[in-house]
Amino acid sequence: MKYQSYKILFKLLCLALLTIIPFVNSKVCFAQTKTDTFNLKASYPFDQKFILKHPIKKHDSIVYANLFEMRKGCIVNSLSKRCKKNILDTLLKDIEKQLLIKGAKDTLIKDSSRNLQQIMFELEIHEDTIYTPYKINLLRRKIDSLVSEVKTFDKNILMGLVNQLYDTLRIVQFKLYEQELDSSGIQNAMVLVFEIASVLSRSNNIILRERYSNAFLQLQSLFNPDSYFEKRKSPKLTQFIDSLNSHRQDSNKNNFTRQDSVNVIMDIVEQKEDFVKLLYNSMASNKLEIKGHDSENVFIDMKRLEPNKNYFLILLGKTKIEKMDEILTALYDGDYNLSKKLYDEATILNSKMLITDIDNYCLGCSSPLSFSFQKFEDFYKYYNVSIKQVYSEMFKKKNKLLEKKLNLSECGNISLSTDEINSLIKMSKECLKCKDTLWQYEWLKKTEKNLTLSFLNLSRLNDTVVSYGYAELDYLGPILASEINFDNRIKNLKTSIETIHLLKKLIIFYNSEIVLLGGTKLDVDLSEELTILENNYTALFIYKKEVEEIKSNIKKIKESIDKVVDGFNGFLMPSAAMVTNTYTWGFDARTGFAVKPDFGFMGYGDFWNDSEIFGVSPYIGFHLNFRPLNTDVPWNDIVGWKKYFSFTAGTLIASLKEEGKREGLIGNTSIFTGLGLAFGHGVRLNTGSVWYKRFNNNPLITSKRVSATPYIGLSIDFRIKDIYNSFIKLYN
Amino acid sequence: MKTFYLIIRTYFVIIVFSSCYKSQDKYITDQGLDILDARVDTTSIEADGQSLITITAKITKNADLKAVFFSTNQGTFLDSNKTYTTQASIINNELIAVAYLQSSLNVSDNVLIKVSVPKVDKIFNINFIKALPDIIQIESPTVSILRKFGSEVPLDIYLLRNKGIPSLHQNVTLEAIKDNDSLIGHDFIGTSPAGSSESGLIKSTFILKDTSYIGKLRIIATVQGKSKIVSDTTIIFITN
Repeated sequence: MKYQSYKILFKLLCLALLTIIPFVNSKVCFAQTKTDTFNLKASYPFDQKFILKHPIKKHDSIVYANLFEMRKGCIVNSLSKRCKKNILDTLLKDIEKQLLIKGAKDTLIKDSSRNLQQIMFELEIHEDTIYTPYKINLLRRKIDSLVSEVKTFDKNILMGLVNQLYDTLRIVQFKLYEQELDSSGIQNAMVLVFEIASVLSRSNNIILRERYSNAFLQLQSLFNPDSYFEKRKSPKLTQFIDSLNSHRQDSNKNNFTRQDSVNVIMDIVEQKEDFVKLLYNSMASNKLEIKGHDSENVFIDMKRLEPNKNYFLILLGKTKIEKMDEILTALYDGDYNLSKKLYDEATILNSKMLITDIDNYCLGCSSPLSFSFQKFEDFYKYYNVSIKQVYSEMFKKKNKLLEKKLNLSECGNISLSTDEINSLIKMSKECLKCKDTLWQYEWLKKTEKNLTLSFLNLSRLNDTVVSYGYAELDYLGPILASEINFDNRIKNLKTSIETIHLLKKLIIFYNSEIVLLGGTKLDVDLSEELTILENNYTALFIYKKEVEEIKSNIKKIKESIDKVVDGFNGFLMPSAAMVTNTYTWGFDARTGFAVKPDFGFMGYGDFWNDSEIFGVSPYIGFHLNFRPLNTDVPWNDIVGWKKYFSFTAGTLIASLKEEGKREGLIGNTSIFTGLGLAFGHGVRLNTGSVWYKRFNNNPLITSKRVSATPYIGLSIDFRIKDIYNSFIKLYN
Repeated sequence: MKTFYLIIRTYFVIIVFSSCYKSQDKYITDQGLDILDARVDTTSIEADGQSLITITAKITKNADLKAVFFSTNQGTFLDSNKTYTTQASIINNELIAVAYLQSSLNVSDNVLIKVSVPKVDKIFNINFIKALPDIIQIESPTVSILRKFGSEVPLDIYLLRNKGIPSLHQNVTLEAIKDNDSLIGHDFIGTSPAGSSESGLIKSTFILKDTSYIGKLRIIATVQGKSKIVSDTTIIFITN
C-alpha cells in the first residue's frame, strides 16, 4: 500500500516538473528575443544605485524621469504592485494636499482629469455632553492613538492610506474645533473614537468601528472633492446635532442596534485606468532625480533595479505653449471661452505620440503611447490658485507703466541769415588756424565734415525731432524706427547739447572778434535752448530709468509666472522612453549570481521513528538563490524578500550507512536538499531533508527505497575556506 | 508564483512521506510471524540417536533471501551437524524450509533449536528423553573358574533396542545365584559408573570370594526395558 503511495507521489512530481518545464522554456525564449533592448545589466550591477547616462536629442529639456517595472507580455498589466503602490501613494498625497488647501483656504483644487480614486471614508462622531479643553486634548490623544494603531495594522497595506487617515482625522478634528469656536453657545463637542475592527488586506480595506455605542453620528467624508467638498460642503455642527438627535429617535423607535451603524470604511476602488493613463497620472511623481544633462546626454540618478525584471523608463520634459500669454490674458480678462478655445488649440498642436520599442517588447499587444495636455478645466483651477494672483500683479505693474508720462519741451525758433551763417563759417575756418582753446579744437573736429549743415540745422531747434532727442543737431537724416529708443534719444540730446555749447562759445567769440573789426554782432543767445535741451535730457534719463525698473519688475513677474505655469504638470510631455531589463545574459554571470557553494554542519534525525536515524555531520553543497544575488552589493542594499531564501543541496561528509538498514543515496554518500534562510551573504540557516536509501523493513527483502530524514544546518559561504578547514579539523 | 508554491508544497509532501515510516525493529516486532514462522512436529523424542524431529520454517512469501539457518545444541541435523542451512522452497504456495534434527544418545530436557533468517530468530526448546532398551544380553568368554578367592569372570552386558541405540548412561543390575537359588559371596568390579556406552555395552567383572560351593553359577543382568523389565543370564561353573 505504501509502495503504491510512493508511486503516485512520484507521478505527481513528474507531472509538476512537466508543468514547470514549458514555462521555463518559454521564459528563456522570451528573453532571447529581446536583443534590441538596452541592457542595463551589461553596464551596471543591479541592486545598486547608479547614474544612467542616456542620450537625448538637442534642445530637449528633461525635467523628470520615471521608471516603471513591467511584467512580460501586455503593457496594461506590466506594472507591478510595487509600482502601482507608488502611483497610488502619489495620488493619495495629491489628495492630501488638496485637503490641506481646503482646510486652510476653503478653496478646493482638484485635478479631475486624474480620475482620483474615490476613497470612501465614513467617520462616526460621538457626542460628549460636556465640552472642555481637556476633552478636546483627550480627543486628540485618542486620535493619535488610533493612528498609531492603524499604522501598526497597516504595515502590509499601503502606508499612504494611513497617512490619509491620519490627515483626515486631523482635518475633521480641526473643522469641528474651528466650528465650535465659531459657534457660540454650543456646549456639545464631537468626539472621534474608533477602534479597528478588522483589516481586509486583500481588498485594501480597513474597517474601523465605533468604540462606544451610546451615541453616534455619521459624518460622511467622501474624498472625491467634486462630489463632496464642492457640492455638499462640509457639514455644519448644527447639522451634526440634528442628525444625532434624528438617529437617537430612530434608535429609540426601531431598536437601532450597533450593527446598524455604519462602520468606518476606507475603500480604494480598484484602479481601472490603462497603462497610458497610469503613466500620465504619475508623470509628476515617482520620478527619478535628474543629476543634470549636457547637450547630448542626460544623467539620471537611477534607483536600485531588481534582477530579472523588465523596466520602462520614460523621460519627461516641460512643453512651452506658444499662446500661453494669450490664454492667460483671456483668463485675466474673464473670457473663459476664449481661453479654453486657445488652450484646446494648443493641446491639439502639442499632442504627442511616443513610439518606443515597448511595442516590440509587448509583441504587438500595445499601440504607441499618446500624450496630451491635461484638460483646460484642470489648468483653470491651477490658474485660479497659483497664477491668477501673480498675473494680476503683473497687470498692475503694466498699468503703472502706462500711467507713467514723459514731459518734454520744445526749443524756440532760432534763425540766422545767410550772411550771418557765411560769416560764422568764415570765422570758423579762420578759427581752425588758431585753435587755441579746447572748445575751438572740439568745434574744429565737429565741423570737419560738413560745417554748413551744423549751422543750417539751427533752424530746426524748435522741432521735436531735435528737442525730443530723436535726432542730433548735427545730423538730421532719415530716422530709423529701430534706432528710436531711450538710449539713442538720450545720446542724441547729449550730442545736441554739446553742439549748442560749442556754438554758443563760437558766437561769443565771433561777436568779440567782429566788434574789433567793426562788424555787426549776432543777436543770438542759445542759453534758453540749451536749458530746454538739458531739461529734456534729464527728464528723458529719469523716465528711462523708471520705465526700465518697471519693465524689469514686469519681466521678473513674467518669469515667475512662467515658472508657475511650468509647475503645472499637465504640460509634461515625454521626450524619450526606453524599455530595458536586468536579465543577466552571460551564463557565467547568471549562474554566479544564482548558485553559490557553501559548507556547514547539520543535525539530522527522525525523532518520530524511534530515533532510528540521528546524527550530525559536516557537509558541502551549494545553494540556489530565489533571485540572483551579487555578493559585492551590501546585504542591506538588496531589497525584497527573495534575498532571504534559497534552495540548497549538497552531500554529507559523514555516512548514514548502517548494515541492513540504510545506505547512502549514491554509494556511501547521502545528499541533502532543502531551503535556506540567509542572514547575510555569508551565513544561512538550512532545513530540509537528507536523502538516503533505506532497506526494506522486512529483512528477507533486499529492495531499497529512497527515504528522507529532516535536517537543520548552518552553512557558510564556501569562499570562506579558512573557517571550513577549521570545522573539518574539529570534526576529525 | 503558483508554480513555485506547487514545487515547495510537493517537496514538503515528499519529505513528509519519505521520512515517516515504521522502524525496522518495530516492524519486525509487529510483523515477526510474517517474516519467519517456524514449527516443530514434537517437543520430545527418544535419545536413541535415530529419532527425528521435523522443523518447518515458513518465511515471507516474496522474500529475496530464502536461506534459512537452523542450529541446535544437541543432536544433529540430517546430512549435517549442529547447523544446517537450506533454501526455502515453495510448498503449497508458501516458502517453506524444512530441517530434521536427529536425536543424540544423551538425555536432555534442554535441547534448543534455533531457526534463523536475517534479523529474526525462532528458538524451540525440546526434550531428548531416555531411550530404554528392548533387550539385554549378558556374555562372558569364561565358562568355568576355580573355587578360590579372587577368581574373575569378565562380563559384557549389551543393551539393545529394536530401533536405535539405548540412551547413554543406563545401568544394569547384576546378580550371582547358586544353583539352589541362594546368593554366593561375590563382587562386581569394573562396572562403568557412567553406565552404558554409545554401543549399549556395559563391561563388568565378577570376582569370586571365599566359598565352598562348587557347581553351576548363574549371573543375571537386569535392566528397565522399554515396556518391561528385561534380564539375561549367563552360567559359569565353579570348579576345584
